[in-house]
Amino acid sequence: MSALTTRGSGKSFLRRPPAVPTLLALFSLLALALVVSATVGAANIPLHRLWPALGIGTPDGALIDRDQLVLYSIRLPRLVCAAMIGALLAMAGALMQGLFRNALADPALVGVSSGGAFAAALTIVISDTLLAGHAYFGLDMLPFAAFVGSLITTFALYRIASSSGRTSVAVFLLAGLAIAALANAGIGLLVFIADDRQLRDITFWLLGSLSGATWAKAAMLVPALVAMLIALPLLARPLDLLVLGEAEAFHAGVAVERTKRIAIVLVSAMTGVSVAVCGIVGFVGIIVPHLLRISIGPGHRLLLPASALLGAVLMVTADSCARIIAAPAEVPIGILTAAVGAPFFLVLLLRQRALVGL
Amino acid sequence: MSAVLQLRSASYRVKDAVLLDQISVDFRPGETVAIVGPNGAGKSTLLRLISGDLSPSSGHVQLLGRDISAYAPRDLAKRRSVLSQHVNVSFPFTVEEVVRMGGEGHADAVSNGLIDSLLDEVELAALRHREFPTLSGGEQQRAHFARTLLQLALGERTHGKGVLLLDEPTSSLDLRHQIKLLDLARSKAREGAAVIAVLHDLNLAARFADRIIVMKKGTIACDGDATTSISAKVMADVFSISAPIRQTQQALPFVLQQDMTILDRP
Repeated sequence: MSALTTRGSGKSFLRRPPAVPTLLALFSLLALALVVSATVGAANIPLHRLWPALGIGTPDGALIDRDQLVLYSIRLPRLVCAAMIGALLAMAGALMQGLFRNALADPALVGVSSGGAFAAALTIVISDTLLAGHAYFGLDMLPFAAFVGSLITTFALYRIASSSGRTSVAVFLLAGLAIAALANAGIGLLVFIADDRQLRDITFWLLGSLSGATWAKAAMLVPALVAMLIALPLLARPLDLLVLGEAEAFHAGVAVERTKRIAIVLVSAMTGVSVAVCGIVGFVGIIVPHLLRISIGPGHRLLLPASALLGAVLMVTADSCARIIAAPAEVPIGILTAAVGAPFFLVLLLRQRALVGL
Repeated sequence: MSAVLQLRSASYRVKDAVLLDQISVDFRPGETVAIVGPNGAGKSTLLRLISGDLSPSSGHVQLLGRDISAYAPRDLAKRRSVLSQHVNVSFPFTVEEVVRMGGEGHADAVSNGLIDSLLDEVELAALRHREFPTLSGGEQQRAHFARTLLQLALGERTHGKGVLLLDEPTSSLDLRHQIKLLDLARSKAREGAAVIAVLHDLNLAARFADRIIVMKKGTIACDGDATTSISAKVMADVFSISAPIRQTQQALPFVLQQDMTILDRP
């Protein structure tokens, strides 16, 4: 226990910040990130032209048509997708960490994203080869396929890592590693047998990119987001109590099995649709909830909505960077989040060593 | 008074191993019961049947005349509270937030006054805003006890006198807090709750309990007051220990480790 005592000694006495100002502050941060992100990219739209292009204020100059085209057909759908995916991945991370009582859980890290990506890649190959007559069947199925793939992975992971109400952190991380490897082997096999066109579509998932974002793809994300927001008030307290352990949560009155089922389905849905739209983007689900837990506390009633907002900020910012760094070319966003997130994860792992018993 | 908890021929088996064998026992409101016995005798399994964690392989466990598995978790939580061993809190909740978890299903305002007095009773008021994982094992145990008492108190407001279950509650506590915790639990029984505790220390059991159930190999070897259950015969037959039984001035039996010799198991 001594390691834990020193860990918290700097901030031993805590007062939680109030919920509404916290959420308002994060909301302002998101608005700022969105505005900045709307102005940068291969085609610059400086601020004084952004407002007219959005229909606010008087149009000035000949570039308005070009600006509007760039904004409405390319940049805005991309921003909306980035914000929603950031929110979904951060909430999926927070939810999974609550479910497994483990701050190191992340859907991408433990193979849930890979499971979704494998199912999506399988859908591309199968629908293209077997169902060639139904041109759009495959693409429409992608979010659903990715959801099912993620669901199977999450459930398998849960069954492997949990026994009689206790979850072993070591088994959980190692099983996640094995499941990710298995899903990646499956993706590798599909790459091997795919033709050129299928290969291009599959490669898209391996890197993770928002460059293909459209309004139609943004619409695919909405149901998962809405489902999570509806479930949030019902799930927040049970998730807090699950931190005590499954038996103890049951003693305190939580319908544990139902809570776990809902959490597993939501994690899978949020991860699955994100993977279907922009491929595997890791570490958002670890970074965001962790920063929030140390600043606003671990209570899920505030942690989940705050994660959604900060996740959106992080993803929009990361996407802006992805467009700027090598402009006019783009860096795949999954590479950026991994470059920031992996060292972050290592620091977290070292600090939590005592806690997780590794 | 009629029983609040009833076990009727309750058995619990895992594969071929019989952990509990045909247990029939009643627990009444207002009484303190200690469950003692050697390792593997089935004490914790019995407590887990009573708490609704496990369902008996055969037989019945009834709370207030109704099968315990028929209760929804939330309804059950309003009638019985459980203090488990080794509860690990892995996120940085504060002491107060953990105690407040006992008020699940109630408005915060309802819990507030109770939380203040409970933190005083377990002597943790000064640490209420500390991060839970920074507490010592004993302090954590006391905070969990306060959480359990909050749940009991809130449930009793609407559902009548409840059941308080304690699984080796004193294992990580210093002497002062061992006595304090068990006296506090005993006062809940005097107010009408049924309090059932698994204990290892026979002397603590004698001080705490109106009734001591001695378990051996999944069965009840002895069920009675301290004088009945702490006898030279029980010490020899159940614990395989030879020790003279002494008496305090209040005629409570006690045994001293200094007197004990180990008997060969038959």
